[in-house]
Order: sequence, then structure tokens, then C-alpha cells
Amino acid sequence: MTRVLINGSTGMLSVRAAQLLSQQHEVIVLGRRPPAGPIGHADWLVARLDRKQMLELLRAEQIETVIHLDLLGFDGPLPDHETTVQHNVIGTMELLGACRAAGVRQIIVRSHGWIYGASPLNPLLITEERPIKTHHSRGLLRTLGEVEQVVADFAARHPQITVTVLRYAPLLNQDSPVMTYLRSPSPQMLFGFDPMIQLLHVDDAACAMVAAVNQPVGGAFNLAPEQPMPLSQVIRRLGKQPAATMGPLFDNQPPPGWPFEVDYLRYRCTIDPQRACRQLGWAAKYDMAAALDTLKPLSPEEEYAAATRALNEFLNRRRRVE
Amino acid sequence: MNDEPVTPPTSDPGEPRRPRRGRARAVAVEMEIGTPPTADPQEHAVPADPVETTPTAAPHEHAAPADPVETTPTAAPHEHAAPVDPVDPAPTALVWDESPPARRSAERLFEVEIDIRQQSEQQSGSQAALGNFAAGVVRLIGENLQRMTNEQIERVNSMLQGVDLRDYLDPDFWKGIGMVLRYQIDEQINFIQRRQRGEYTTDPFGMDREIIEVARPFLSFMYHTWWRVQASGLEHVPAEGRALLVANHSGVLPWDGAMIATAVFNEHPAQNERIVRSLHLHWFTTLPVIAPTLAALGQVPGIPENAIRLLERDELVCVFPEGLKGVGKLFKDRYKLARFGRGGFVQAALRTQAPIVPVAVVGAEEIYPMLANAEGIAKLLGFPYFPLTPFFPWFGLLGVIPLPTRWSITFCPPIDTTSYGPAAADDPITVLELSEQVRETIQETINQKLAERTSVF
Repeated sequence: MTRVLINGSTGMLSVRAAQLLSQQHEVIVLGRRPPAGPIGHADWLVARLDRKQMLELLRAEQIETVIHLDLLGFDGPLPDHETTVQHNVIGTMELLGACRAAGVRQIIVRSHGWIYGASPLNPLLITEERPIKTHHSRGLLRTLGEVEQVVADFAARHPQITVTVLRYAPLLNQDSPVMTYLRSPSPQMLFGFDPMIQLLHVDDAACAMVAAVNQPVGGAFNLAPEQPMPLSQVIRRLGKQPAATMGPLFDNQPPPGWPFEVDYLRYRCTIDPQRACRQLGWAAKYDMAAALDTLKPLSPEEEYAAATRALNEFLNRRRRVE
Repeated sequence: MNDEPVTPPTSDPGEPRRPRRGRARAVAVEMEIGTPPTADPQEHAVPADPVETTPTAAPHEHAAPADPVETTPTAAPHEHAAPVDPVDPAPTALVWDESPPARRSAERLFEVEIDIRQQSEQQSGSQAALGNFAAGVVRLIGENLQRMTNEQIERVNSMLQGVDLRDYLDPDFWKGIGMVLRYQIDEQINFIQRRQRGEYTTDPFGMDREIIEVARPFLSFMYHTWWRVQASGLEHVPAEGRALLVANHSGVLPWDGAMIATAVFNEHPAQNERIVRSLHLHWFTTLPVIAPTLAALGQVPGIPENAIRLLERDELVCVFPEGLKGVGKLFKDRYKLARFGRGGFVQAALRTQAPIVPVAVVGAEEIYPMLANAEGIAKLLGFPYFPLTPFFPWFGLLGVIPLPTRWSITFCPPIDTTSYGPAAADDPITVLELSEQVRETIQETINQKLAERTSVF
């Protein structure tokens, strides 16, 4: 039983992680908004804490593990750059400081699998040894490179704290940037390119978090389904047709709706989850096709089957509680 | 293929799923037995023209007597008698050969191909060459037909109505053939559109077997008919397990990789249709259209990690260590091997303990005689080189058609790497020595093949 604080309540990853972790651990969810879904036996605190208050909470609750999910851009639109830097970079630094002062044993930070940058020189699957690209020009990754550097510096200076960085492939999450792109009626692709991409189901992402809490190993972990899929196929499997746009070939400006650099529509940035498989015993339960199928509207029969399954699960759980 | 009609298991149980080459050979044998070898072209042209007779033959053909012999030329005159012969349909109706129409039509075309080849053997000079070419085109159409649906085949048959498929000197022959080829290309585009639902699978590198199937007839045509490739030493390529093929690179566009792959796929003694994964220059990854096409065809960006990953998956990997210096070679430097990189390919082979098979390609140097490299334009366009050949860029896209030289591809005996051990990959001396050894083997084989060669074409 570990005492866990999940910092950040927006987004399904926080909800699912709290749900799963609270089955074995004492979990508190801290955020500015109430959690977006049921969080099991976890407790929650809706507040915006400053440095001192955070330290007070960590000490009072004797938190051993902190999961840092409170980064703008993952679960919603990105505000202006200044706000993002303030929130993501400074916020992370403050949290790390509070953790050190409170004697937290493990810090888990969420990051993005595309942190390595898209490039024609990328190998099939990128391993964690590959240096990250620190200067991204657009979107969430722009501050995330800096966040990762701050975290890596902190980890190097404080060897007594286990610092785990989870680099997730883009999540198939309601409000994630890639999902917003995929949800547009005809997502725009770059003419003549069709990069392979990986998309991760939120449940798999939450399982990785549980594994990281249960086996505190430091360092970065790539988390993605092993088999990537061409972007065009992803769009087609969602029942849409990709549109090709030529513009970015000339001005290098991303098409509307694409929240990353253009290069991610051109070259692959696919990551190798082998380290997580070996050291955390994690493996994606949903391959890409299965993960995408969960987004499809259900036929009446499927809906009936799903309802039966959900009801049985619910009744079983109730019986266990009694 | 999804559009191929289902064949009941009762018909020809011993027959392989894809008849292609083996089938054609079988027909050839029947021909030799069935018809007198000296048969003059006249005799061939008149009775044995199944496609020309389709309008009359079509109704009864569907009704009853499609016995397996029917399509052989010897039986063709008999076919006309079939409707009035009451004895014939009855027994054949019981052994109704449900071989899909695709196969039947294709077999007819393969017979035509063999006829034309025999015919052209009796000719000489340019007429023989033209005959050879015509036979190849007919074969290409036949191979495409095998992957088409019934209605599509009906369309093709109606297009070929009235075209004497054996008279390749007649302009109408080429007109009909051209129509069919265009139609088949359109249909293949439709096939790609049918994949719009995204219901297909690729490997992690993006290789798509369905796309390879689509490209195959064309590559076979280039292989057999355009460049008349002679492959030797294929037994040196392992039938299973990992191996690293190392070849000389030439010819501006990487056709040589495609031909090596076709040689292994079609002619390997094990006949297990192995796909060769070529490593290409990562510059191609930056080119629109070309990048996803290469990926779908199973080619992989040439990065050491990728080579090792492929070899660890027990794939057959082909590398061109000359890289750019090879493809962008000037015509005057032909068949002089450039430096073999820095021996990265040897490191990959040593790390994965894969045998190295040197491959010598002769003939690819002359397909685009690159007289000069317009470096200024190349720099402007961001290309590694910009070829000036007698035809490119002066004739525009026509200049991209490669010259039909005659090729030979020689697979040399494999070089074992297990005796060195994986640690040798970090020893520069071993790596460079092995690299040099491979280079010399290829250069010697090329020299030998060049000495044997009588003509470029």
C-alpha cells in the first residue's frame, strides 16, 4: 500500500489511473476541477495550491509517490505560450521542489512519445537511449522538451528520489490534441506522405502508471502499441477519408487542425516499448485496430452485448462490496 | 485476392494456388506434344484464337462444356463442334471444372504468349524482338487478369474482340493491348480505392503485401521482357532465415533493388516467394509520394538500426553500400565500384550473425546513361544529384523510361560471419577487411560478366 497523490484531474488518464490505483493504494486526486469520471476509492481535492500549500499537503498526507499529470495541452486546447510555460515548466519545478522537501520517494511525470521529434533519420522504433529533441516549435511539445530537461536535471541531482518519465504515444483520449484532429470531418494529411503512427488506448496508459507505482524504476519509458499503423489507415478505420493538402510542402505551415509540427505528418516518430515490457511487465492490451474500434459507434447488437457485459461487471462488483 | 471467385476444393487439389509460371510451363509441354512443332503461323492464327471466338463461344461456355482440355489449342477446333455434339457436355457437366474464369482467361493468354514466342523464334532480327516483347505484354495482361473479377474479365474480353492476338505485326493488336492495359490500370486504382475502409494490414515498416501483389506483374514484365534478366547463383540465397545481400548500385533510379527482389521472389529454387527488403537512401523518405510507395513495397530507410531490426526478424535484407555514389555515378565511370561506405553493412551482419551474399548486377548501369550531373540544379532542388542523360530532362517524363538493356544478376557464395562472433562488429579492422572482401568479390564478378557479355541490349 503506497500513499499516492495524482496531481491533475482533467482528462481520462487521471480518472482511469485513480480508479485502478485506488484498488490497492491510498490515492488522492488533486486538481482545479472535479475528476471527469468515477475514480474508485480515491479521494479528491479541488483547489489550486501554491508551493507552500502543496508542501503542507504532501507532508500532512505523508505522500510517498506523486504522479504529475497537470500539464497543459495533453487534455485540452493549449492556451498562449506564456501561460503554458508558467504552468507546465514553472509548475513542474515547484512541484519537484515540494516533493524534495516533503521527502517523496517516487515522482512519475507524464510525457509524450513524440518528444524525440519526427525525422527521416528516425529508426523504425525509437528506444529511450535516443536523445530527445529539446526545441520543438509548436504545440504541447514546445514546453514539454523543457519540462523533460527540468525533470532530468532534478533526477540527476537527487538520486534518492526515483524519477520515472512515462513517454506515451498519443492517447485516444476524448480531448487529446490528436483526437481533436482525428475527429474533424476530413482530417488533412500532407500530400504524398503517410507516416506510421502509434495511438494508445487510455486503459493501457493507466495500466502503465499502475505498473510504474508498483515497481518503482527510474528513467524514461516509452509506452505505445508495438505495431504502428499508417496515418491514412487510422483515418479510414474511423470511417473518414483523409484530405491531402499541398500547402505545407511549400510554406511548412501545418494544416488547420494539426496541433504539432508539420514533420509529424511527414516522417515517423514511432517508439519502442521494450523497456517497459522488460522492467515494468507492461504490454499494450489494445493493438491499434482494437483501440480504434472502441471509438466506432456501436451497432444495436453490439450495444446490447456491451450493456450486458457492463451490467454483469457492475453486479459482480456490488456483490463483492457487500 | 478478395475478388477472386471461390474455387471448390474438389478441382485440382494438387494444384498450387497461384498457377503463374508453373502453369505456363505445363501448357508449353502440352503444346509440344499436341501440335506439330513446325506448325506454320497460319494454322495457329485461324482456329486457335479463343478470344476472337468469345462472342460465339461465351454462351455455351457458361452453360456447359468447360472441360479442362478445352482451352488448349489442340482442342480448340473441337470447341466449335461442342454445341452440336450431344455426348460431350453430359460427362463434362459432372466434372464441371470450376476453375475461376480469371484463371481460364489468363491461361488462354499464356497460351497466346507461348504461341507468339514460338512464332518469333522462327523470325529474326527486329521482328523476333518485337514478338518477344508482344509475348511479354500478353503475359502481363494475363497475370493481371488472375486478380480480376468476372465482370472485369468480361470487359477485357470484349475489348479484345476482333483483335487477332497472334498477329503482333498488326497495329490493331497494339491498339487492343493498349486499351486493355489502360483498363487494367484503372481497375487496379479501383482496387486501391476499395481499401479505403482501411481494412488491410501492414508490417511495422509499412510494407503492404496487397500493394506488392499489385506491383508484381509490372515488375515481372520489367524483369522478363524489358531487361530479360538472367539470374544465377540463386541457390546461394538462403531459403529461410536471415541474410544480408550486398549489391552494387547503379542506374540513377533504384531499379536494381526491385529486380533483385523480383529474381528472388520468382526464381528462387525454394519457390517460397520471399520478399527482399531493400534499404534505400533516407533521402527518399523526404520525397512526397515516393516515400509511402517505397514503404508499402517493403523498402526501408537505410539506417543501421533498421538493418539490424530486419535481420533480427530473420528477413532477407538487401543493401547498396555505395549509396549515392553508386546511383549517381556518371556513365563514364560505369562498373567501377565506388567506396563501400564505412562498412556499416558489415557491422549489421556481424551483430546479427547473418551471412553476407555479394550480388553483382550487370546491365543497370546503362539504363539511364548519365552523361553529366547538373549540380547547380540539384542544389537548387535539394536533390543529391540531377542527372542529364541523352533523354532526360529533354524529353520530360519520357526520359524516365529506362533503356531496355540486357541484365544479369549473379548471387555469389555467402560469406559466413559466425566465425567472427558478434563482438567483431566493434573491431574496425575486421569490419573494413570484410567490406573490402565483399567489394572485391562483386567487382571481380562484374568484370567476368562484362567479359562474357556480347551486347548491351
